[in-house]
Amino acid sequence: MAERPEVVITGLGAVTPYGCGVGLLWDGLLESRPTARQITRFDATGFAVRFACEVAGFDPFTNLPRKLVRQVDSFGQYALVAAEEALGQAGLLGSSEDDGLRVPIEGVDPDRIGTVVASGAGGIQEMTEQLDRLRAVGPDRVRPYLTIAMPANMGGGQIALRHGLRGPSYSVVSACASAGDAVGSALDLIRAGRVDVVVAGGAEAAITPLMVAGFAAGGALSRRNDDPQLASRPFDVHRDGFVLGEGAGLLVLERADHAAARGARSLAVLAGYGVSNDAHHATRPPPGGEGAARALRLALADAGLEPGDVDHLNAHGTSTPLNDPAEAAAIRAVFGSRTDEIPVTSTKSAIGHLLGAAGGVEAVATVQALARGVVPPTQNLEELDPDCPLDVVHGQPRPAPPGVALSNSFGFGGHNAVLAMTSVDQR
Amino acid sequence: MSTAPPAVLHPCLVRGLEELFGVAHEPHLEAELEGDLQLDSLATVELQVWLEDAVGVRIAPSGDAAPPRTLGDLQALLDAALRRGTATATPPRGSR
Repeated sequence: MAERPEVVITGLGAVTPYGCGVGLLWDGLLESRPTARQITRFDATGFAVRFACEVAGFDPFTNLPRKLVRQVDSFGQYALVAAEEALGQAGLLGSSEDDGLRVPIEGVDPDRIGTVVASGAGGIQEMTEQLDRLRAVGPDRVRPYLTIAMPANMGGGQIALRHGLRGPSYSVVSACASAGDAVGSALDLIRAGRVDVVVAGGAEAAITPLMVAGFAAGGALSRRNDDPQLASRPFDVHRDGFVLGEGAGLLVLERADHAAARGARSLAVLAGYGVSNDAHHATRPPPGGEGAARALRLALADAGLEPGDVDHLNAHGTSTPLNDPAEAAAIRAVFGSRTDEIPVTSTKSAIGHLLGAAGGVEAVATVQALARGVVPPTQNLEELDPDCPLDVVHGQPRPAPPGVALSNSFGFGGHNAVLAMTSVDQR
Repeated sequence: MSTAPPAVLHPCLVRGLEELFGVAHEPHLEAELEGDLQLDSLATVELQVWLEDAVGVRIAPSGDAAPPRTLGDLQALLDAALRRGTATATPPRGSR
């Protein structure tokens, strides 16, 4: 069997409830700053859940040309801004006279740069607004940009268009595992030789009346309306559901020799991807976490690693009654007694659950942890649930040696995605 | 269309061009939507729908007539709608 090429991460981009940029995300995670607050996007009076983690300080007109803003739903705007940051860090952004921000041609073939950008709900805000217009004033008043702004592929599609990326380009949808599966799919594309570089991750802007009402009706959301900042508390015995978040998290994945040839700096190695389905229940994981355990083992095997090699785990950690113990059971099934030596953190404690973007933002956070040698704390952990026997980092960031990290993303529909990353120092 | 050419651009048209597409300078009536302003057919319809909301009229579909090619053509459609005095159910709203 031919040796598979090594794939590295050369750029990161993020738009999160901390604001625009990976820097703000990382600072917020280290400082344990909460982001949940009363919903401002719409009047949530009368809703069972009236708080969420909204993106802060984002003005699309500052970051994007006005004409482009018109064509994209918020999720597409987040994707575009995160992509520009990631491609910029990777040293792949040139400039052109018309602000096209094209990828530089010299030495980099745009036919071999792709995008796999996920979204769970896509342009749901656009869809519901235009549906309201259809009902209120009739079919010929629906705006023509609906069919561009709404579809879930348009985050990646607009990124490809704006930056002249002509390689394979599509979206992956697996609910809350979407962005994890997008990064894994991008890894497969590079290994298969179809592309040299992929912009991969997810974008989500689903803090809308319909989605808040729907998730609340399903009993998935925390109802701590009187104290939103304490609501997202993964692995804590008093957790009562997740907090909706929004934003985008993107990585530039690149074949290692391609990055080296153009002098690009590698931030981490994307070593493996494990993926499975529970085939158990539409929303509940099996209590023993068997499907997630399989994905963990597959990710390790794909990376050529053993359970004993893992130094850190970025958990799915939604703060729901059911996910957290099932995930803990999956981790213990794979790592046994070594579980007590693996620092675990949940990014969702800080920024909420970004649904189809969660796996992307959490992969960004995991790369940062590897590159900086520190694990951010999990917020609001006051009393660890005995059913979640994990070493959850809380209170203070914890130094961690360069090594191996895993990132979990699990989604409604039984989807499990696990990414394995290693420090560049480990090569 | 048998109307006399409009003399000046409707302020809502000027505002729509700026708010939707970032056209900062006031273009002239002969400006071609596609050639000079880079507005494709989708963008033109988008502008039309926005104008209908902003001004409170219904711009009739062009039917067998050619779609608007210049700003003057679009202005003429708007003027015709204003003369018809067609009211919409939706009150004028600000831009999205």
